[in-house]
Amino acid sequence: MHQEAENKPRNRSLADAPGGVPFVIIALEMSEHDKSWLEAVGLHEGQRVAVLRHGAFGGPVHVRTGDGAEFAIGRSIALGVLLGQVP
Amino acid sequence: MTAASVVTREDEPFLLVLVGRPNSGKSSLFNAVTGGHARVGNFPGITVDVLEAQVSLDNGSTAIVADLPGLYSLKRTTDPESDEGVALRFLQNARTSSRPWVAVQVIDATRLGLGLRLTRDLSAPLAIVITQRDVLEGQGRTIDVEALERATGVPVALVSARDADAKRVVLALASRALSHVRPLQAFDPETLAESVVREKPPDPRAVRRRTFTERADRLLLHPLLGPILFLSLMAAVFAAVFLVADPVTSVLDAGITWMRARLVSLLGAGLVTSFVTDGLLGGAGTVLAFMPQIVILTLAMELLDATGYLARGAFLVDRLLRLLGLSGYAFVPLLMGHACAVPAISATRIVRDPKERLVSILILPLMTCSARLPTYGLLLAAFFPHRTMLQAGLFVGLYFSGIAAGLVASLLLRRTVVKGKGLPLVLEMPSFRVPQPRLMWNKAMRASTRFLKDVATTIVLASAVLWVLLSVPLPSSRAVDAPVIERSVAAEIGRSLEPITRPAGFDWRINVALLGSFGARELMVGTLGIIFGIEGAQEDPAPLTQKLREAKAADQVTPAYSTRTALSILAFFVLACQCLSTVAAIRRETRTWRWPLFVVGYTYVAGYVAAVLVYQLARWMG
Repeated sequence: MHQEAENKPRNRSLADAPGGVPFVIIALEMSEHDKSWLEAVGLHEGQRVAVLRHGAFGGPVHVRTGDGAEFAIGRSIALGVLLGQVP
Repeated sequence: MTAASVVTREDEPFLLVLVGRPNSGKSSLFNAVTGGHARVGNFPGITVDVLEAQVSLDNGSTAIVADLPGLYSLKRTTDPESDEGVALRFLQNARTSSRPWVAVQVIDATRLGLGLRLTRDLSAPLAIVITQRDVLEGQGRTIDVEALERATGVPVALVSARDADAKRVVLALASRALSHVRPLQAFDPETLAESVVREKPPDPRAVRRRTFTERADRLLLHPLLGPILFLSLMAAVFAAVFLVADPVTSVLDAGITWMRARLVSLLGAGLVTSFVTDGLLGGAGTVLAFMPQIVILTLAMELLDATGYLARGAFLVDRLLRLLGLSGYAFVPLLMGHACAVPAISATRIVRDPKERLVSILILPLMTCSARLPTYGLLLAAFFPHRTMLQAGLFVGLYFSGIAAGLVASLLLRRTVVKGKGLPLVLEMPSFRVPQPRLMWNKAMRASTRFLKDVATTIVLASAVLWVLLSVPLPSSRAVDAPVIERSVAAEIGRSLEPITRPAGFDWRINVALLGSFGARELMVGTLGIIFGIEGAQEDPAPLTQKLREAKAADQVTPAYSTRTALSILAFFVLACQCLSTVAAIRRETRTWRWPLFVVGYTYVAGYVAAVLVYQLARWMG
């Protein structure tokens, strides 16, 4: 059962994305409140992002978006930002 | 069309409202248009500072330029007191007002798509000013302004806030928008942004700037070096507040002392003179003592913010602050609170989440500010003499007790009176920029003026009330030749409080000293000096330490105070908000008496409970 769960393909989240690799946001899995806030600042589905660095001890994630903006995103919220391969 | 063609009634200047996302370059543009001569506007129903300035137009008429708080969206507004809520209300008021007005949206040229998302929330009359043209050109890009105008239906200009003609361009654009009001057309922000950006050869200077930001971030955001550098810088700012502000404060203090002496020689000694010199002038002196700190702290915060470093600092310490239920932004005000809570409370404006900001304000009085130190020093010297190591250990312990109390209070407040979901941490990390000194200086001056206007009145009034309590004798059965303070209203209050404070080991004299230092903690030593007949106790506390050790209880036999009493007073002093200036600053920032009263209530209850526990436990332990 445990093995089966591990083999199941999972989407990568922003919190555990490797640095320097471009991704595209495919889903925002979080409350409507948090989702609308992220969308308002420009982190929406379809937006390209690349992780620049991860904060120490589970700190925020430093990302650059496709339009050049840079954000520090709390790890708890970054876990809900699901990424896919850039088409 | 130029600004000269704007049709306005002579007695009613038209309103030009600058709106835009945070870090869009709005403040720089506001400064360029107004020449930096701004003041906090008085707009009905608007509780957050909105800067305004009057600008003369070519035709001799005038316009009022208002700078709204930075905002991301108007449609996702949840908190009416948030920046978005304030901006939304401001724009609604402008729409219903009879005064001619125009919104000018400021967009960072390097983030056009994000800016155009906000454009969709706005409505005519509207114009778009795209700033940071120099930065965009440095990246080898420019914007087809005409294509953007056609697609949106509103006038557009591409500028740099440092351009000599930025003011003329913005005013002319506003005139066009006001003269030819057209509805905003529908568009997709990202698609439109991509379609109007054109490639051009990059500017080597801007390429160097971008490379510099990337290199600087590698060092400043390094997991190990980054926090060390940040803490060092914060320590330097902290030291500057002390080192630079102290000499200025001393000069101001000397000025107040000179004025006091002049007034005494003019009016002669007496109750009225004492009221003017000690009550009113004393209050004014307290206000002036804070001014250098306010100016230096505001300058430092503006410098850190304008360069783009403040967001980096918040990134570095965010994880640590999460343990307190706060975010990285709260670090700076909490650190500043160790110098003085009053400017630190103003510094909480950098905390974006309203709930987190409120919690920061509510726990700031618990940080060990410099005003507590004379009392700590006096009690440690009086009751732990010749035990240097113990004194040092207790001193450090008292500092950390404040931080620990803040931690506990923050956790409790986030689960009780300030519960509810806050904003997720999404910090914009701007590129490093060179700040504009004039803009920073103007902000520091505005902060000082605001402090004088809002806090000074409360402090001077409270100082006058405290003078009455401490200096006006009551007709009573007590000996007429007893010192005035023993026959004062405060002494009567102190005696009547004894049944409540006795479990903490406080007699009426300690109660009076605590009452006298309610205005400012640093008055504790001076008030004790007056009670025990020691002049100049603040300058030389040694005779007072002796008096405290020798003081007798009501039976005139047993010692009135012991190490237990000292520990009990220290416990009370760590927690109780003995500072009227802090209370006034909280009132100023929260715009209600509810929160300052709450702070006084919870810190006094906590202080009293801690004092009783310490006193009784120490007695039990022998």
